[in-house]
Amino acid sequence: MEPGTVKLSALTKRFGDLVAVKSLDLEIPAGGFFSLIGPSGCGKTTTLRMVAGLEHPDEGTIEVGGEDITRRPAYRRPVNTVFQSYALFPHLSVADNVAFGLVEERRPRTEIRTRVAEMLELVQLVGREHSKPAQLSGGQQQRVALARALVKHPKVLLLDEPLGALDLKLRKELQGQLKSVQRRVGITFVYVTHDQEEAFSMSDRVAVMHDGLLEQVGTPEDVYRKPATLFVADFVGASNRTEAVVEAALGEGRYRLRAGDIGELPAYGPERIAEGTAVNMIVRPESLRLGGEGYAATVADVSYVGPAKHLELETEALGRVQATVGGDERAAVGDRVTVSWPAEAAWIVAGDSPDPPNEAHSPTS
Amino acid sequence: MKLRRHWFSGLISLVVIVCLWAPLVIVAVNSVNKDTLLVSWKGFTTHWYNQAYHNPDVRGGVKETMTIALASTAISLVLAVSGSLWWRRAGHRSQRMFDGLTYLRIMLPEVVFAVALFLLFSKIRFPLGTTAVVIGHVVWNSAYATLIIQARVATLDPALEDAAADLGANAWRVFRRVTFPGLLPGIVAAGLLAFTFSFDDVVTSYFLVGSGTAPLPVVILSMIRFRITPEINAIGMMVMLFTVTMFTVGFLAVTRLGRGARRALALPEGRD
Repeated sequence: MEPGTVKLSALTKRFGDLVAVKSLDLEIPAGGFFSLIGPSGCGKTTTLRMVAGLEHPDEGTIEVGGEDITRRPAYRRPVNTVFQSYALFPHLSVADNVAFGLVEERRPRTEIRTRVAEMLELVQLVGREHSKPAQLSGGQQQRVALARALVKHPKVLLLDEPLGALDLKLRKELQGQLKSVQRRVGITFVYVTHDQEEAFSMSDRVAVMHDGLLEQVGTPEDVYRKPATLFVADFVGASNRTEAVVEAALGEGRYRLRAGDIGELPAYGPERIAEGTAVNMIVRPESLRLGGEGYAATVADVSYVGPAKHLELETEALGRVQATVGGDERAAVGDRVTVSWPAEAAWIVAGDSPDPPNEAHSPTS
Repeated sequence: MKLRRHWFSGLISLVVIVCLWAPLVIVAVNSVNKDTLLVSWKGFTTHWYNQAYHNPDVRGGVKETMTIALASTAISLVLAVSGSLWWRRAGHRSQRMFDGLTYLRIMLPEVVFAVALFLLFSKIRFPLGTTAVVIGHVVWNSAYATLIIQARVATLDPALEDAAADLGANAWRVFRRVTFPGLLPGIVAAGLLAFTFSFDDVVTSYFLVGSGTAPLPVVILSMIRFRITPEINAIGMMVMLFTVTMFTVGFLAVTRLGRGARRALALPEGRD
């Protein structure tokens, strides 16, 4: 196994009566940017803290690079963390903060100096060596926290919502920087956030957690376009949902559905859904098209966000649907339009509990 | 809006200030007064200082007071730091019990503890003297120190200790490099306070000193029991000078340690 691989097996953590993480199985490939996303309280931060050694699992094992580190104390693990609050040592200068971990390793002074300087250059903080953390801006503090963790050359870097406290513009900027730092150092990044957009823009793979359970793992595109559960579908973006029954499985993930008033609908979905199964069909708002052949609809609401327009459409067949169209599209409240979508944009979610579970974990197959 | 100064409140303040400081001024003046009876000004002298300086009772008292104050402060700080760190992670009920016991040591009259310890020590045949006094002082001194250090502990971000452990520091190193520096302003403030309280304590010391060397406040008390000599004034001035110097130095050290220190001393926030 590569040194930067993280493998969690049947990992469980309870806080009193609350089960924060329920028998989590997850393999995080080495050298990539991996995000754990989910709403607050879903167990993502607890999972991260267990990998760091700051929480101790009740059951299960944690392996890094094939080595079982479940029982190892935090200070002897080959992983380092960037904390949500940055947790910079207020009494130490920027340089001493970054040097902290190397001092604990009892590295020679000259080596410490060179490595700290290198790291400060990487995060563009040259010249601020002697500042105290309180004298830095939020973005700079965040970069000190990153440098302090990376300077130890960990096999895995854990990031716990490190951009949560920053304003939107700075977040975007730092997202780009984080991503490029990850490419340069080639260390496995495990990133925890509740912001799916942030996770999608940076990650090679994302895992969605909900109530301590893993809902889905995959590339951002898979998770968005082929959600395994209704929870994932809702969490990663808006969607239009219709209840339907599988009428015929046509092979290779193609199906024909029958939905109450609408009639027959072509759709795609995970393989091996039995005919007659009650399912949900989802279509993302941006897949809807106006005009041409389609369902008759009335524009009920328009909100203009610059590059796009979000429309609320009232249809007889589908009820209320959301559509996101180009900002140039002409649509005003009360307009009568037609709405349609390409068959490949319709995705089937088989109920709320994904079955079989192993398929939910690898929707890329 | 401009606040008008009121002549009455001004007058009250003046009276208060005069009443508070007049005795000290008299002590200062008389400490260099040649008049043995302290009734009129008979000229300047340093004789009383000289006499106090060479008085073996006073010298022994100072040494004894210093020993007791340093020992009880050190012990109180250790108890306060370890207690506060335990308190931070303790359950809610344990915390309340701990707080109750701390407040009780401050609220109960000192004389109650002094008598209780006196009786206890007699009962178990623990010898009265320096050690007994130190124990007596620790009873309330550790409570004051705990209050100050607890306030400081509550401001410590537990994530800092997580971060230190994450960066490779074991439990001792985390304390040494992160927790202790974080508590330092509180420790200095608590230490200064405890030292001063111990330094001028009479009640506890009086009960527990036995036949050993008396600490300075007890020495002074027994000196004035017969007659107020000008020497007392000189001693008073020297004690005052020492305390003020110590506090000033300590205060400067604490403010140098940062804004958190000011919070620990409950002083207004200002610029660094």
